[in-house]
Amino acid sequence: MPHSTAHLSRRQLLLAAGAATLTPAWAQSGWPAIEQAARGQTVFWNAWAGSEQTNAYLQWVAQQVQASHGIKLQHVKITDTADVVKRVRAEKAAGRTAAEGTVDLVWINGENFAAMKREGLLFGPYAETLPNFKLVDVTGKPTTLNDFSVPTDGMESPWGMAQFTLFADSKRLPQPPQSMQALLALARAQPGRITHPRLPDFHGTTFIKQALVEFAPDAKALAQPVTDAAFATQTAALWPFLDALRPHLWRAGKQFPQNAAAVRQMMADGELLLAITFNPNEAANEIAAKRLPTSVVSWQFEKGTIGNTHFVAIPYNARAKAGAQVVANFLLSPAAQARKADIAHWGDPTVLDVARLPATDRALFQTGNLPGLVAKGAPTLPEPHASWVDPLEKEWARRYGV
Amino acid sequence: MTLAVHIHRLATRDHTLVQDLRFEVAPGRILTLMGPSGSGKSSVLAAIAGTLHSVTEGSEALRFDGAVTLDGRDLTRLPTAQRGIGLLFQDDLLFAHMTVAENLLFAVPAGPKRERLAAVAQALDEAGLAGFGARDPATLSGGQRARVALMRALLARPRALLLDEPFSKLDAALRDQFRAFVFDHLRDSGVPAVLVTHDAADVADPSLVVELGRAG
Amino acid sequence: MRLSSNVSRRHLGAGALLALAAVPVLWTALEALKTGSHPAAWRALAQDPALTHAALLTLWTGLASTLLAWWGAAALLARGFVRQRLARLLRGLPVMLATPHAALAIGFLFLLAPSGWLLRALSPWLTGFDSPPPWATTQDPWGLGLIAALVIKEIPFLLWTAATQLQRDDVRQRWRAEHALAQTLGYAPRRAFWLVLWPQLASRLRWPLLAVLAYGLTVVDMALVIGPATPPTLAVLAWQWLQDADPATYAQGAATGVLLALMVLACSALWLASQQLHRRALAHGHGVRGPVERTPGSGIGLWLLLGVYAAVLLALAVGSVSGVWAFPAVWPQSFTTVAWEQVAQSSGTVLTTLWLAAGSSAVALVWSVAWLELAPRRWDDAMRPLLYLPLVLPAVLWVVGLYGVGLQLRLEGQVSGLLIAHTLMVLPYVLLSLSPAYLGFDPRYAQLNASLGRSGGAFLLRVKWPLLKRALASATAVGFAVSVAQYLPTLYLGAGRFASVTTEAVTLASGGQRSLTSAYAGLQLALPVLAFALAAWLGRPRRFTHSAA
Repeated sequence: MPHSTAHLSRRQLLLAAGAATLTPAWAQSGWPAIEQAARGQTVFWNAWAGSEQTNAYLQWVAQQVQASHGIKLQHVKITDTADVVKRVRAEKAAGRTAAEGTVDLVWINGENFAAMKREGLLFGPYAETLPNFKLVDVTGKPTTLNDFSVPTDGMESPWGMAQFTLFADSKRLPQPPQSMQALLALARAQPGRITHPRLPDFHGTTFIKQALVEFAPDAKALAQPVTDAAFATQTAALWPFLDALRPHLWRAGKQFPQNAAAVRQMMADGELLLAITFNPNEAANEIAAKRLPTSVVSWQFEKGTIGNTHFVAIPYNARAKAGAQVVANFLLSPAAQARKADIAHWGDPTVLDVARLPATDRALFQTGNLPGLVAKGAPTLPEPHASWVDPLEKEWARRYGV
Repeated sequence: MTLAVHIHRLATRDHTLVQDLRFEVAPGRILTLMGPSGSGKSSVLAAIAGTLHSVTEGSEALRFDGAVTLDGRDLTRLPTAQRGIGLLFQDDLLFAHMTVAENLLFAVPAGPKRERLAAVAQALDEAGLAGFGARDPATLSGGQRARVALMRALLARPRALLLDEPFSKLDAALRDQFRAFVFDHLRDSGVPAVLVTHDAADVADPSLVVELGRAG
Repeated sequence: MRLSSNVSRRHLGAGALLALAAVPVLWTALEALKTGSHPAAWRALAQDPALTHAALLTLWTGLASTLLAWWGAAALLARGFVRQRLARLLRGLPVMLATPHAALAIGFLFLLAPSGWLLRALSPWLTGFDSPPPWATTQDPWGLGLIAALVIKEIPFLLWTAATQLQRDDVRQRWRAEHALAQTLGYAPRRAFWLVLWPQLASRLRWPLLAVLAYGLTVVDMALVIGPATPPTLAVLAWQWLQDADPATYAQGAATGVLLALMVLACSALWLASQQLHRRALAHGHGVRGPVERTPGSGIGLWLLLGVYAAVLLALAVGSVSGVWAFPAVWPQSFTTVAWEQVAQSSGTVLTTLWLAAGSSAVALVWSVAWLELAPRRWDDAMRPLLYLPLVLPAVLWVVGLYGVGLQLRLEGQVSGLLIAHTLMVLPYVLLSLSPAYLGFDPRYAQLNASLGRSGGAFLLRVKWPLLKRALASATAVGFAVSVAQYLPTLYLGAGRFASVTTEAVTLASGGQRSLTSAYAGLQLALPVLAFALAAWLGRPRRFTHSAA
């Protein structure tokens, strides 16, 4: 009997000691302590910066957190989130300790998140301790807890929604195709006017994933980690479809543009019929910025298109962990989410459950009827598991990439 | 092949170098052009050879008013390459990227390879430099280089030859030797020559001397 | 006694300088090689299906573009020299040199694309096209667009380095005289240039040529914009693999970088060997004097080059204010100044770019002058390949090494780390530009100075450097332009803390908004042009108020 008590108490001691080293003192005393510690910190937020709207929104966030919490938020402009993953990984390999990193907050999702989570490069779990997390629509938007079918486990906090959307000039394309099969028919009718970015650009990958989801015999198997057998079965119908599509693509499928921006530019110039995006409001943004004519419409396939959530995460060696958490919390506030969802500012859909918000907050989310918005939303299909991406890209490259 | 030169006026924009200069040189004869520095001797040679624009690159351009005739043919309007007048500078100007033989070969007119090579070999012999063909010009002494330069000028079969102070860079002993060498070859080749110098000892033919005045 | 201590002081100085430059260069190169030598990475690379095609494409585009640029520059030089119009030829160079590679590619792309300006100008009245035709004018599988863009970019660089050689004090007049002499031997002016001057000039242009060859084989941004994409060139593949978060793919990318470096080495050896053979074949000559009549209308080369640059710049200018602009409209259907407003807001990046460029080019200039003053000729000749290593190593490989070293020294995200990275890239260019004039400086001036009893310091300050004003100023301007154009080093060693105009431009280009990309390209262009203008003004020759009597 005495032996077991001693054993237990030692284990308890060890656990307590372990917990104490893993979580800083302030985390144990609650949110007000975090806000206190965050005051005066500088948070380096590494986020993709390819569009003015995103950059302008981030500037607004910086002003808000400076005024309300005394945090200096610096937007570190990056072209590819994989750079941040590599940087944090290199810092860990070079022995940077838990408070010497150069990245405090990173805009992330998908396989980048899966890699960081797997390699222990993230700080957390923290997301569910954020006060505003309770406003997130976890039931209606399951992807806020499952990122490419990988559970987030609170290691990243949701920020916005994305859904695979297409847009085209209705004057050149009066009948938008409503499925991949319809797209193939359109390509046959007007050859050389449709294409997607070259894989492994993520828009191109999503195009293939959408086709995969539409042609896979058992969509649920895609939520499981990939195996050779599963891959062979699920993609059996995909490759014949792509083979049939290829000769009717732009440049007969022998060349692919580098990224979605190039596709959009070609669509604007009239060389292509349609363009693809992850932001359902992108076309409306471009029209408002007078870069696309008002006759452009957006749509999603009738039966649904792949959608996901994008998040913010904190690396294990961030210097301003408290500040980063305060910023993440602010991003989940109704005011910030509403402004983000507003076409006039960015138009990125919200992760919050708008219906459950108090009336004053709900009013912030009014959407007008602007040209280019998706007229009829379609269901969001879940992303395949993150492990499916690599084999898909490799097989595509082997078949069509040379 | 008589060389007849008439310089009405050789001037820059601001001042006149040479005015009303006339002379004729018969084949095989050597005319000596003398005068103090600044009197325009080199410019006269440049005007005859047609290289005025090259010599004055960057500084004020020289304008030439006059006529140059060779054997009755008016050369005044022709570009340098077509005049057939050879020019020997003060510096030997052997091309640094070619061997001695290649320098000489460069000057030989086009023709069957064997004959060209034979002409080069003969020239080397006459200059007393047999076997120097494959040498880098930079490894030759000043006197040797001067000889190669002269042979190069002669191998091109010029119809007239101009020499710009060709002996000034040589020491006294070498000077006499080289001078005799040059005059012999010139007389043998039978071309008219104009020699510019400020040293009276370089005069080949006392009856053919022209004095240029000081710069006007 | 005093002489030998003087000499050994010089040796010490030169040795210290050498260590200062060589250690970072070698360390970076070694770090890069280490990262790129994992056997697993090489195995993965060998199995990649795109490898052979990409490698052949790289060889083809690199060699063809270098050859065409070399011949083009030679032809322009021949004409300029013979016609005594070199100064005019060289006047337009600074703007052409300052145009950023990526901006040129983007503008060129816009001219040539199926929906590009050329076709818009001709449609629909001539071609009858209502929508862009499916012609592969850009991203063509043979890489012809890439070759053309590379040729246009490299000819000004070769012209400019040739000009620095032609303007050396020690050979300038001699070469003129040799040219005149060859004409008196009966050779036509053009032929005289090719047989007498070009061999001497070309042998001094070896390093710039190798730099051009290395760039053509390893360029990333131009190939991304205008080169084929399926598969792309090897450099683009390396770049894409290096982007990947997966460590195995990253190592594969580094291995590709090493492969590229080996290709550069092999191609350089091949080129130099063929030049030797060519020289030997010409050695005997045939005495052919060349055509005597003036070749008519061959000024077209220069006009064509200038015209393309003008068209590209105009395309960028119009693009920067364009809104909706669909085919076949020749002018934009709506205009917007949003892009320039965004540019105006990024004054912070302009400041960063300026201090980085000014700092790195200043350090590089000081180092180069010190080296050229102190180093014995033998050391200089021997060490040049090492000092020029950043010029010929592929940028993708170089930056892998830089980042590794930076991490080890905890320099990433620091001002010092960024400055060092930039200086390492700028130094070879400054040295390359300055050497001809500096080494060609008449040594008799120094002897004269000593005979007048003045000290060495006074000589430098009052005689040598004022006489070399133009060379010093333009070498600094080149360094400035090179620093402004650095993308990868700023990105990696800045660790995102520092944004330069170029990193902004590339980041925005990933969003694909034509107006924004064009506006930033304009900003990228403006800074080096200003630097060159300043250099031209500083280096102007003294105006003597007293004309000749």
